[in-house]
Amino acid sequence: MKTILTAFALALSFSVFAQNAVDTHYQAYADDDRLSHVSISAKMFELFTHIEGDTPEEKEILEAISKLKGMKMIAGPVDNPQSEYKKALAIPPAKYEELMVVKQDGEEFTFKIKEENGIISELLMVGWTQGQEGDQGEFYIMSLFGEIDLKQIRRLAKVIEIDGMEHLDKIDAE
Amino acid sequence: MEYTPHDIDAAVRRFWDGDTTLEEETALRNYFRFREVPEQYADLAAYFEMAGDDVAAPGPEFDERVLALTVNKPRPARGGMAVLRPLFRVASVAAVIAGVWFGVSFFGPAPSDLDGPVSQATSLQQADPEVREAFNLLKEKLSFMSRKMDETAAHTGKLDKINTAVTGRRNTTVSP
Repeated sequence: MKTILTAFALALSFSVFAQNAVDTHYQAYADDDRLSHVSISAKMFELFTHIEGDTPEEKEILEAISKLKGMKMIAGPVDNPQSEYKKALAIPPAKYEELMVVKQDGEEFTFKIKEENGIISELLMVGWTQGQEGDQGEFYIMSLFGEIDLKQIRRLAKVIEIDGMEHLDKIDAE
Repeated sequence: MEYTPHDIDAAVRRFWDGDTTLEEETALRNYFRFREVPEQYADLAAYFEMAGDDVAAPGPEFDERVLALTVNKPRPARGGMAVLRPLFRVASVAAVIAGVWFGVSFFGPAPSDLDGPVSQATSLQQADPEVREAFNLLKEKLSFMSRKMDETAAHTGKLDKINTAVTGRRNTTVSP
């Protein structure tokens, strides 16, 4: 009886604290040193809210992440990235809604979202890339959770790119 | 009354103890003035010689006069403001302390301002190094995700679908 209660408590605690697909389904990869693990906690996102951006790029990023609660990412070379990708896609079919998929030039990425009460609470990106010249291919799974504004997230690429180009222009000018 | 060398010692002791009567002191004075005085009583003899006969002991009128100046003299009333004056001093000190405390608590930093390293809005350059590092890491990963999202949306040719998805509508899935 005690064993059953302990197992139930563990399952309950796991379900309470596992807030995203990476935590829920990729615990087994936590100790894999070949992979890159990135985790930014809710506390850190709270600290970000006390920062003022000095540049338009920083301000745009801070605005985009102002309602996020965390970010988790696992990425890196695996034996069979395409197989890992397919397994990842099969993980939460009931809870996650497919947003878009692209398959081109030896890579494939899928974006999924989880909605709660009309708000996108998680953006999940799963992908794989083919290895170049004998290198292993890589597998990616990244989860943003909190209150997601897809438009802002997508716009960040251009903002950061523009800022980077301006930075290069300044270096060239010097 | 007249002292003899035999009883002068006891009489002097009574004098120093303050137990002698006026009659005994007169007898002592006469003794030291008119008799040969032992060496140990030389100072006392000089005193009686200097005091003389005209130095009379204070009488009852002296007592009345002194009592009139001290015991019977009406004292100023210590009621009203005079009684409250020490309390005013205490109250003024308390008011100063309360004023300083209020000023510090009202205009000083709030307790929450002292809790964390980045509790007030600050620029990224002035933020804690750990926060800056996390921000730069997040920026790098977001940039990657955003770029992939932009490429994917462009590839599908349905860029506006992402904007529609933000509104939270259920039927916003974009397929390639």
